[in-house]
Amino acid sequence: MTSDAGPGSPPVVANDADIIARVVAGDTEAFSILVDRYGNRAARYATRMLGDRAEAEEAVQDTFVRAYRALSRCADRERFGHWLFSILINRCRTAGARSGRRARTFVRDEMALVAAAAPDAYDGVAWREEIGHALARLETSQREAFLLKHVEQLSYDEMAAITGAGISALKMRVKRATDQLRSLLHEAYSG
Amino acid sequence: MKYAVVVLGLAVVTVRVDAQATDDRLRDAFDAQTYASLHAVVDSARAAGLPAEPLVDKALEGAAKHASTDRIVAVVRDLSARLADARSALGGSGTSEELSAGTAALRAGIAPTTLAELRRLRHNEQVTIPLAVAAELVARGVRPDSASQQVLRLAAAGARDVELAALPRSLASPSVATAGASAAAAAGLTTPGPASLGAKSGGNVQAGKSRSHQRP
Amino acid sequence: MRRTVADFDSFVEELRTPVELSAIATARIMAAVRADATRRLRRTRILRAFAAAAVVVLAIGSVIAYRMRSERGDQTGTVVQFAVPVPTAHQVVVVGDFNHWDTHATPLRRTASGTWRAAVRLKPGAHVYSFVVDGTRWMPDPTAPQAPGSSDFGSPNSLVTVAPGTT
Repeated sequence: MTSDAGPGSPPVVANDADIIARVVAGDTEAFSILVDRYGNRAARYATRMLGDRAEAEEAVQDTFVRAYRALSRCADRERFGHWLFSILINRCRTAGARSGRRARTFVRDEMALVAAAAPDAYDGVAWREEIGHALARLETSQREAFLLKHVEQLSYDEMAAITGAGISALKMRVKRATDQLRSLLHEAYSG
Repeated sequence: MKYAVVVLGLAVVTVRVDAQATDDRLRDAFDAQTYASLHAVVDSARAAGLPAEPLVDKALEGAAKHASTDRIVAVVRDLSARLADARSALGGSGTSEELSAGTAALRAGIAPTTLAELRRLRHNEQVTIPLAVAAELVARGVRPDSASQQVLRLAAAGARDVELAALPRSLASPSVATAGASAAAAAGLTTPGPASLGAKSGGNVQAGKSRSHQRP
Repeated sequence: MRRTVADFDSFVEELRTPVELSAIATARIMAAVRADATRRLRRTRILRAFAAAAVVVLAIGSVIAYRMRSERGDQTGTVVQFAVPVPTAHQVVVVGDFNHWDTHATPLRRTASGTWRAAVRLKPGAHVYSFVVDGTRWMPDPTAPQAPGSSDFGSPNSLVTVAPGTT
């Protein structure tokens, strides 16, 4: 998993394993380098997964703090990003379970939403809302797999390492999620 | 104040004894590296409020069957996700037994809405047995939607666990066994196609009474 | 306006839009991490002072608590008879979630007819198990249904549902 550093960023001076070694040895401030490296990607995943920016930030904060506490137990320090994401996935599931009632309430409003998406009412705001609503309709494991594959653009091998699910199961989840999303988008906007 | 400290100490020690015993079982069964990988998964699950025992038992099953460590770690991670799915379907909470039974039910093809409905019907009572019964019905060749309907109908009628547990046994009773799959199919209960997964008629392990059984 | 495949691509593009973790969130993370580091240091010192005095109390407490739980455990559950006809076997054990898949925990006894039997107290719920014949041959119960997803490690397991019953 790559960090947020793009082609124009300053050269990375230490890899994740080196930074983890420093933090474990007592250099607490060095942990901020890992937060900078992975924070934005974690925020994007959590925001898409939970559909709520505030909840997402809370999940990401929680994830990094837990990662800090368990840092000495990170088995593969070169793949800190994967390990961090496996914690993030769990935190998002917990947060999702807590707000499950809200999601179920939302589903009942779906028909009102479809009615509101009039064919000539295309605008950026409605489209982004529709995206969020469509994602919320997916089963948790399907939404996870879809985001990891299409948004985080991980390989199935990486996804299997992070989630522990088998590759065939992950492919099935991605396919079902994709099919359902296409169908939902078609329903919302077909004239 | 002294008593409060002692009582707190007892409570802490009891919980830690259990968690320690679970971790010890894992440590005893695996080399240090595999233990570290598994422990990370189990710890992460614990942190998410999921029960550790089913995960450790799954790892121990893999060890007993001499599966590769990579496979064991992957299966345990997957089970952790399935336990989370079961908890989600059960409204966000569940005992270890409920989540294990819920996982089995989902895996057997029982719909998540059935789990949610069982939770609703049963109010404050545990749903372990209805979930286990639903999974067992499917394992015996009943279609998942039919298994759900039967369990939900009984639960809605206020059936107790011991009554629900009799449901799979009623399918496996000698009077049905002779006609076997065809009788169940005629009742619209089984999935059409090849016979179910290795289950044979003639009785099963009896619960509730100390009664032995034998293949005829 | 009808939106189709092309729109799905814009849907994915929209999802890929970068999201920035807020400065407040970053600050909170580091504040929590620093507080944690400080707490750990303090805790280590306090624990050392407390350990000597507490060890006797906790040792006595753990013995009492553990024995109380064990006794309670012995009185819950239902006795279930496991039986399997394998006349040619020299040893048969049953393993499952109830004995943590320990192949030494629950040996069966051979009867004159060649059926192997054991009585085990199981907690109410779904239990997964298998027989192991002569230490190496894994054998599901021929009279029980197969547990869902039980082929995780190759050989399938059997399923039994135990209701709360008279103990």
